[in-house]
This record gives sequence, structure tokens and C-alpha cells, in this order.
Amino acid sequence: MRIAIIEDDDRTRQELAKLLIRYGYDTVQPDHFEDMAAELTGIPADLILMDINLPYENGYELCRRIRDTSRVPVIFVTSRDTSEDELKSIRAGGIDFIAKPYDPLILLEKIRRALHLTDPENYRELTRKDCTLDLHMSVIKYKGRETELTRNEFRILYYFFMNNGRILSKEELLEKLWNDRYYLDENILLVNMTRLKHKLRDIGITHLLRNIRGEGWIL
Amino acid sequence: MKFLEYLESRIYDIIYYILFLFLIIFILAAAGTKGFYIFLFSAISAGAFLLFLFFSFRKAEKESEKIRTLADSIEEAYYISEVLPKPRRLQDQAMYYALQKACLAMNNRLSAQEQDHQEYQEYIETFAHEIKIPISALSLTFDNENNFALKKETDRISQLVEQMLYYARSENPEKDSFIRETFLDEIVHNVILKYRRYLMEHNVKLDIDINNVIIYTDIKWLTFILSQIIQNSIKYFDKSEKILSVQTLVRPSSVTLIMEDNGCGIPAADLPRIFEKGFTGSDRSRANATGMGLYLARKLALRLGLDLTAESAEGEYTRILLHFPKGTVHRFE
Repeated sequence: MRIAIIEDDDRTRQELAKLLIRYGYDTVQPDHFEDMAAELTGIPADLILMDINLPYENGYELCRRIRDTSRVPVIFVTSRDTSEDELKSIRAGGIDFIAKPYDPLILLEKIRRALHLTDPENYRELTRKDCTLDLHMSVIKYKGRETELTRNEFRILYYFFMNNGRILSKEELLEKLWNDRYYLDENILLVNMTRLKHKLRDIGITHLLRNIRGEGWIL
Repeated sequence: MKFLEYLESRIYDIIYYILFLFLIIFILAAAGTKGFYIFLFSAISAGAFLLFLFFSFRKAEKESEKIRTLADSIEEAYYISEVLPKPRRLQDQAMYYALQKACLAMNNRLSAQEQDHQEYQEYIETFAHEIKIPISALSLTFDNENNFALKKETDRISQLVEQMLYYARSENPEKDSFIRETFLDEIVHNVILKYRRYLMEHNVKLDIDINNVIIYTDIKWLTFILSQIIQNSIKYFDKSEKILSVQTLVRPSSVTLIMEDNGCGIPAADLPRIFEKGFTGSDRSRANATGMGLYLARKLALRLGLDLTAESAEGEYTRILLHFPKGTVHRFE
């Protein structure tokens, strides 16, 4: 997924790119503001993050011009947060609006929503490394044996199933949990992790989660 | 008494009349008129004069009363010269002229002041938006570097700028409010997310139980109000086990959002004053308080048609209640 960042503040642009790359997105950062609309038509992007106060032409006009040729979703990112600005962004054809300084968690959530990358609610089960997580029953199955998971344990395991092959740190797990309204603290998370590992071991799963010292866990 | 005052104001007329009367009496006496007729003439003349004085007093009294009522009834008193009846007496006309001058000067001064105020407000608005650009760059950088210490400082700057901006806007918030249908629990969730780092850092135990209520309000303003409350809770936690609970109390005609922390609480003597502008508490020297947070929160809440109240026991808890009356609530499930 490629995201175009249109932002005239260099530092913000670079840091934003860094953040998006860390979360697995491709980024392009066009910076010829004299003729941005033309430059953008040459760049295939799945989403545009658009600042509003730009040199030569503001974000609303730019968005309107892009709309003539393309349906790529645009999220406005701006330091102006009056309701008038919000209204203008909707009129210009933006699908969302986020005020600076923004919270990365919320920005990433809005990006996911804009790209329709919401979690696959309609799946019934997910399978990784011969272990099957039943999304409806909150049960993990392995070679004919199964064990029931609590709400928290299920949620934690679910993130690992969804982020196959990525290390999830304690902090990232907590952020994900909070984002989904599971307001756990660090201790409770660690207690849950330990209990989860015991439960998995009880039905013979020892290969699923690996602890990487100082970094987190990986599926 | 008032009549006496009136007589005093017409003392020259009266002296003139008496002297004139004496002159006539003298002339009549010199002409040999009988004492009885002189007396009769004097009595009639004096009586008529007194009667004349009394009626002109009544008339003056009536007119003054009219002007007073007019002055009291007009809301912006500096427009009074526009509605007063034009006087006919020379001296009154001068007074009227002076009053007109005064009102005009006042009006000019006022509109100049209003203009200044508006320009100042626009400047604050621009300033806040401009300064958010570097704040945002810093904030993002520290996020990427996982530098929570500096991120916190940046957040503090951001919060203070926000407070200033909302203070400037609180004069006429109607200009910037955008009433929309929204879920109460979603707003609360977003505010909690906003402060998640602080809540996690302090190991705050959250107890969130919010009914699925649809409300009609301005999301941005409500978020600001809840942010001020949660900032206070975080600031005044003093126990090792910290609990923040957010609940709703649903009644047939209203919904109350109850935010309670088990922090240091508020002394009973301070409780009635916490929503006052600039009130920083009688014994809270350790905190860097501006005394603006709760003041603004309540002011904005009232503007949104909500009410904000507080209950507390010192050393035990602080409970802030935000009341949504019937008109702002849609449906209960």
C-alpha cells in the first residue's frame, strides 16, 4: 500500500514517512508544490495525506483538482481545526480529517479505515503454524486438542495471528489493546501472557510464541 | 420634599416675582388703593403663582420620570441619546448636546476596542495554528524515537496552546461549534486514548462502563472538556493504587457522565470555587496549575447546554459529573 504525503514542513514529512514505513506502508513524498496536481497524477498512490496550508495552492483546491481525474482517498492533515476547516475538507472531497499535532495511533487507525484494511471480522478462524484460533468461540485448537481463552488472552493472541512474522513489543501490544478498548496495564498484560503460555503448553503448543529478549514476542 | 427642591431650583423666578409683587403693592399703596384691595390682589396673585409653580413642577416631574424609565429600559445605555426626546429649553439643549457627544465618543471607543479585540483574537487563532506545525513535528519525532520524556514536554506545550485557543474562542463559541450526532462512549474512548501514555505510566486502573447513548453535541468541544477533567485526575493522583472510573447514569430525561478518581480530592472549602477563573486551590502548591482548565470546561459545557458539577471528599475521591439534558440526548439502549 502506497501513501503519498503532501506536506511542506520537511521535518514533519520525514517523520511521518518514517512512521508509515515502520507500519509497513510505502510512501512517496512529492515536493514540487508549483505543480503538485500534475506531479500527483504521475504517482500511483492508494491514499493521500494532505496538508492544507501549502505554498502556491492550498490543499482543498489541490484535492478538488485531483478529484477530476482520480478517486484516490484523501485524508486532510492540518493545524487548523475549526469546524469551518472540517466542513471545507468534506466539500473538497476528503474522506477524513485529522488535526495536528496528531496521535500516531489515531492517524494509523484513520489510514486503515480509509484503505478498508479493517480486521477481517467475517473470518471464522485463523490458522498459523498448525494452530487454529476460533474467532467466534475464543478457542485455540491444536492437533485435536483445544482450550478456551479468556477475553484478554484471546485478544492478545489475535494480534499475534494478525501480525504474522512481526515482533510485537509490550508497548505495541498495550496500544493495540487500548485502541480496542481493553484498558489493561503492563502487569495485567504480563500476567495474561504467562497464563496464555501455560494454557498453550497444556495442549502441547510450545512453538507458537517466541520471546525475544528486550523486544517482545513473535509468532 | 421634592417640591421644595424644585422651588429651590426656581429661586430666581420666585425672588423676581416677590420683588415685582412688592413693587406693585408699593405703586398701589402710593396711588391710594385701599389696604383690603391690595391684600386681595396680593393673595390672588401669590395663589396663582403658587398654583402655576405646582403644576409646572408636576409637569417637570412627569417628564423626568419618562426619561428615567427610558434610560432604565434601554439595554445598551450608551445609545440613550438616540431615543431621548429633543428638549426645548436652552440649557437642556446644551445638556442634550453634551450627552450626544459623550455617547458618540463612547460608541467610537467601543467599536475601536471591538475591532482591536477581534484582530487580537484572530492573531491568537493564527498563532495557535502556526505553532502547532513545529509542535507537531516535534511530537512526531519523539514518537518515532520513543522518547517519552520529551514527548511529555511537547504534549504539555500542546495542551497549553490548546487551552489558550479555547479561551480565545470561548467568548463566542457559537461561531465554531458544529453539532453532530455522536456516540458518548466513542468520545470517552478517544480521550482515554489521547492520555493512554500517562495513564499507563501511572498504572491507573480504568473502570469504564458507558451505556450506548447517542448525543448531539460538538465533538471537539466535548473532547476538550473531558480532556481537562482527565488531566486533573492524572495530576492529582496520590495513592499507589490509582483508579479512574467513567460511568453513565441514565435517567428517563437525561444522561449523566460520571468521572471519578481516587486522587487527593478537594477540600470542602475549595469545592465551591474550583470552576472559578484562575482558582488554583488553597493548598495545591506542588502542581503547576493555571486555574483555567475547569473554568473553561464548565464555561464551554454551559455553552453546549450541558452542566458540569463536582463532588469530592478530601483525601478520598473527586467526582466530576457532566449532565446531558433531554435535548442533547437521542436514544438509550
